[in-house]
Amino acid sequence: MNTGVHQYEDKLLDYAYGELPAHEAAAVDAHVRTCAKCSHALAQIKGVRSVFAPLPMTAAPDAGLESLLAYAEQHARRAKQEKQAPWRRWVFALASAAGLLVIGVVAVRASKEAPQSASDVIAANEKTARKAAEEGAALAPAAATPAPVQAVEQQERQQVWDERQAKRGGPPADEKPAEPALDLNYADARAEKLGNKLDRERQAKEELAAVQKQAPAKPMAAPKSAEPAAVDSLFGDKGAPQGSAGARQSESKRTSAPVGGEASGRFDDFGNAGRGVRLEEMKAKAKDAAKAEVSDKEREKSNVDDQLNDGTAVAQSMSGSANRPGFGVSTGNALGGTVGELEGKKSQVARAEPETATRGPQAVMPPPPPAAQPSSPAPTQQAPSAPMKKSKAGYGVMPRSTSSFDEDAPVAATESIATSGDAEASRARDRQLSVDAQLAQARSSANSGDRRGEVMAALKALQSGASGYSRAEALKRACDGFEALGEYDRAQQFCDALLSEFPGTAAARQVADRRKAQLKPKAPAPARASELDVRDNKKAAEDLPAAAH
Amino acid sequence: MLAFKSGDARAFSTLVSRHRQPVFNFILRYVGHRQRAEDLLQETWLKVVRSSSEWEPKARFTTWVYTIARNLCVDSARKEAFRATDSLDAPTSGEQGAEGPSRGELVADEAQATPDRGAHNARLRPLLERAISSLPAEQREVFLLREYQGIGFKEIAEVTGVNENTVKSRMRYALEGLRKKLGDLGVDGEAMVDASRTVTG
Repeated sequence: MNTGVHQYEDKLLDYAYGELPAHEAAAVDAHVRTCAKCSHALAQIKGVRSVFAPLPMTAAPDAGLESLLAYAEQHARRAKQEKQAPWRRWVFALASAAGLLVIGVVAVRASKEAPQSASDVIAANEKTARKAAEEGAALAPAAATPAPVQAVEQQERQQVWDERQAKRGGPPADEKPAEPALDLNYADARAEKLGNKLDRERQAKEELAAVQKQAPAKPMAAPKSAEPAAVDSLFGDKGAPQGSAGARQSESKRTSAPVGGEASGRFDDFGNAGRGVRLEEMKAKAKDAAKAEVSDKEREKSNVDDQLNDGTAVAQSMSGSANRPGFGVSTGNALGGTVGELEGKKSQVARAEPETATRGPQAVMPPPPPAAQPSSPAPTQQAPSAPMKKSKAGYGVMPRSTSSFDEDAPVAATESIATSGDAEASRARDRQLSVDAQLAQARSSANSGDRRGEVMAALKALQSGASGYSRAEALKRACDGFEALGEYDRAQQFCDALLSEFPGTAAARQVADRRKAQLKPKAPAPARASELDVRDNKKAAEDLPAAAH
Repeated sequence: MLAFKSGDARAFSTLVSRHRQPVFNFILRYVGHRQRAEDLLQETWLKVVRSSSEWEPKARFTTWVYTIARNLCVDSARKEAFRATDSLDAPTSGEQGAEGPSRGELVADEAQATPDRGAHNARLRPLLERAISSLPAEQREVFLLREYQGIGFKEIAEVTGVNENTVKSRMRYALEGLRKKLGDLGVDGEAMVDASRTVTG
């Protein structure tokens, strides 16, 4: 009995909530009618339900409903799009992958082709440049270094352009071709012409032969301009500013001509590329002038000694050439020529007596080399702190300035310079490199706070024949460095040279301002006030008589 | 719900209009705090939208949405427990089961009472709210889901994550507890008996 009651007792809840199947519900109902416990239990369940069932519902707030619906709408729209075209994502992904693949293939192909074409072009250019260099001096003797090379390149570009146009049936051949560096099509066309290298070489040879046929006519005019042409080659074009630049240009001319190979038999001519015929003439002149050179050298040496030890020559020549605001080496032909001449003279002297050209700065460096001393006038060999030989401009021991600057001397020296222009250019280049290296060392020392090292390097730069901006920098560093080290006497000469040689520069202004500041009384405010008082008193004194009257 | 999954936004509006109020009442009676209930309601429906792609027709929508709501309520209750705020289950006196209206009664919206219940409801409602709030959470949720949302014991088992027998056991305990609570609250048996006579089951 109890078992039956408990059996149905578990089902009372389901029965109360109507979750029993019909047949089970009927059975429970029949049991409940006969069982007081189950009936009581069922009554309690129903009683609680009946009390709580009527509990009213609370209305949901409207806040947030609109945003919820909007969000749902957006979500539904997105779902709809994805459902309508699910393949779009795949298509987009595939398209992106395909695009990347194509770009990668093109990039790889371009990178493989470009170096080949570039190297072939360079090799072809060198060969044709070599041959074009043999055409003779008639072709722009003082032309810029890459002129033959440029002409060959232009010819090649023109050929390629013509062929491309012929293929396309496009514009006429005389239309200017595109620059190869930026035209991929041109690069492709050039690549196509690799197989026609032999044709180009043959054409170049024919051209060379044609030029050589014309060559004999040119040398007739060459002798008249040999000397100035040589000078120009050393100092650059007539518009070129500086001798050192001209030397560099001539040097680069030489470097454009390769050494060795089939040109080995004409090494000397290659060494003077672009001036083959003129070179012969210059050599002949050199022989004639060699005899007179010895005496000229002696005279020149003494002049250069003065120049190295006195700071007026360059200043005079520079100030006399033009009113220049800068460092004075980049304006005017005469200025550049003068600087170049000084460079040449220095190298001449250096050849004769290697120590001579670097005497000036060494005069302030303990100990001066003995070789420099005998050939220089006594005043220039004085100790750094002693009053130096005053030039016309009143400077101390400074290289490349002289009180007895002989303007005629450079003319005589020019002839000998012309004959050794190439070697001079090489030396000038080496000199400049040395100067640059020394200045770099000076900067490094300055950055590390090594004043002594900075001064040493600056002086070495001056010894090496620094010119132009390099010289100004070296002078400035020497001036500042010595002052920082407390060696004001030594600093003075360099500061004076800077002020005289580069008066309009910022460096010179700094030095001038510093000197002014040093000259000004350093008394504190009261001292300044005392100056004002003096002025006021003076003014008052002046006014008193007037007031008295 | 299937229509909404397919991109029909109006289907969602229908779902909202149909189920938003019952879900709100469930949440409100579960947490016993109106502001929290409103927040949880919004959060529930947002989750419904976001999870709509995961819904599958094998389960009823009501089961699914109440599962979401219930889980959010449980999480909220845990957070509130950490905040150490007074539970709505506890009467204002601070002791569970002591005299005094519960917070649920205090926040109950008396104005929402249906007019046809008159004074009877006006007197009973806070007591009933309080009695429900006094139930343990697991009994409360079962009672609310069965009694007011009409969800069967089997579905309640899915919503709560327990087996059906456990749900039924919790329901029995809930009913027993409510009966005792009503007796403690002074709801006389006569009223219950009278009320039981009107219960249709």
